[in-house]
Amino acid sequence: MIDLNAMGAREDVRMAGADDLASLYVVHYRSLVRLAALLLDETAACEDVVQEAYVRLAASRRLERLSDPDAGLAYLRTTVLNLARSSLRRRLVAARHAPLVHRPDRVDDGAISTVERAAVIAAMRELPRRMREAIALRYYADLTEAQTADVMGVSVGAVKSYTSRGLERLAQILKVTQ
Amino acid sequence: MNAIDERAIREQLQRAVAPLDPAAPPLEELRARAARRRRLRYSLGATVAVAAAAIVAVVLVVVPGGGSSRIQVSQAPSEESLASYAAAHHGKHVAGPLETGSGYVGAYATKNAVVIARYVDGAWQADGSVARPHGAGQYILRLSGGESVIPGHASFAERDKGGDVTYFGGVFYDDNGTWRDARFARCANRELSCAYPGTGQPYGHVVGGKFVSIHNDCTPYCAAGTEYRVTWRWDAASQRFVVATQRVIKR
Repeated sequence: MIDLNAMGAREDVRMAGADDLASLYVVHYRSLVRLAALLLDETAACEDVVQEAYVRLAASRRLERLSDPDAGLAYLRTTVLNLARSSLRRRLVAARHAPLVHRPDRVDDGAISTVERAAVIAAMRELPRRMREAIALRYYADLTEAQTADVMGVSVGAVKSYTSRGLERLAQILKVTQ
Repeated sequence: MNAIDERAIREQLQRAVAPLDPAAPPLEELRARAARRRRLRYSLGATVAVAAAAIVAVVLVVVPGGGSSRIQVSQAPSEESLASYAAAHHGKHVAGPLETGSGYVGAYATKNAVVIARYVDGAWQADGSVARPHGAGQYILRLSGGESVIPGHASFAERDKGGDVTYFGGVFYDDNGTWRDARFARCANRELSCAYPGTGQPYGHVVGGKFVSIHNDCTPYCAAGTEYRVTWRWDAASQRFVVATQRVIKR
């Protein structure tokens, strides 16, 4: 998958000589928000989840200890997945109604409703959680089976199974709704 | 056969979330939130450490015979002393103390590593650590120690539990002063899932001093897969575990 926006942003970062966190932020923020939208039941919460993942990464100072720059992105993906799984997302949604900081940059409601009207999003939300995660990581984030297994904390065999059954289920749901 | 074209689903997913085009908030805002969280964590950690130190001091002063027991502890550390040390360093799932040829060692898990502590001059101190690739504390580590796992080496078997169904297992050991993950013969990786590529739910544990793992071939799918029980033997020449026995336990 080639993300031209990400490529441009990466160039900006290189020119600016920004640190690792800034680099991860500029290059991957948008794609992680979109990944979260595929994992969560509420599209409105996806930005909160991704921002929380970045805050955790920064708070842990993990980046300073990582030798592999890709490990930072892997950490972010895993954290986004875990936050999407956990009940924290419900608290984040609740907290969203009383934000500490005004954020004019938040995704507008029009974009959210457009996403939620998409048939494939509705179909994804009918899938069992693990199938949905496997499909999103394999076919949206373009991870390999091994990388998907690592992020989900399951074996490669399980990823194959979730993906295969998830695609079948997705096809059935989309067929019914069309 | 997949009932839906993989390329089609890629395109549909990309198209569906494309309208989400968030302008990221200033990074400084997130950095400030991270800094606040770090300060809170440090202050909580300091409070716990001070409280633990106060409790230990009270026990040593008030409990009759506290002075003599302290001398005893310096010879053979208690599980409690190791647990206190681990707690003061944000550790959990404590294993040990384990007596080795070079003194007592213990281990505990932190968010992204297993830390090995050594008992030196009446106090625990960090001796090394083994990074855990999954990190982030979503895995529960259960540690058990014994020199029988890798003969002649202080070693700990480890079980990582992820989610609600998946188990991994591994062993780490003292390789002449450096703590390492033990490798397995069928791959160059430490993980059992690598030792049996493509299998599901590898699960490692110690039985009768031997490291044993259970693998599911997930064929045609995991619930109906064949399960194998594998006993591993440490091969000193190649410095890795090799399969000693393998048998089917469930078809």
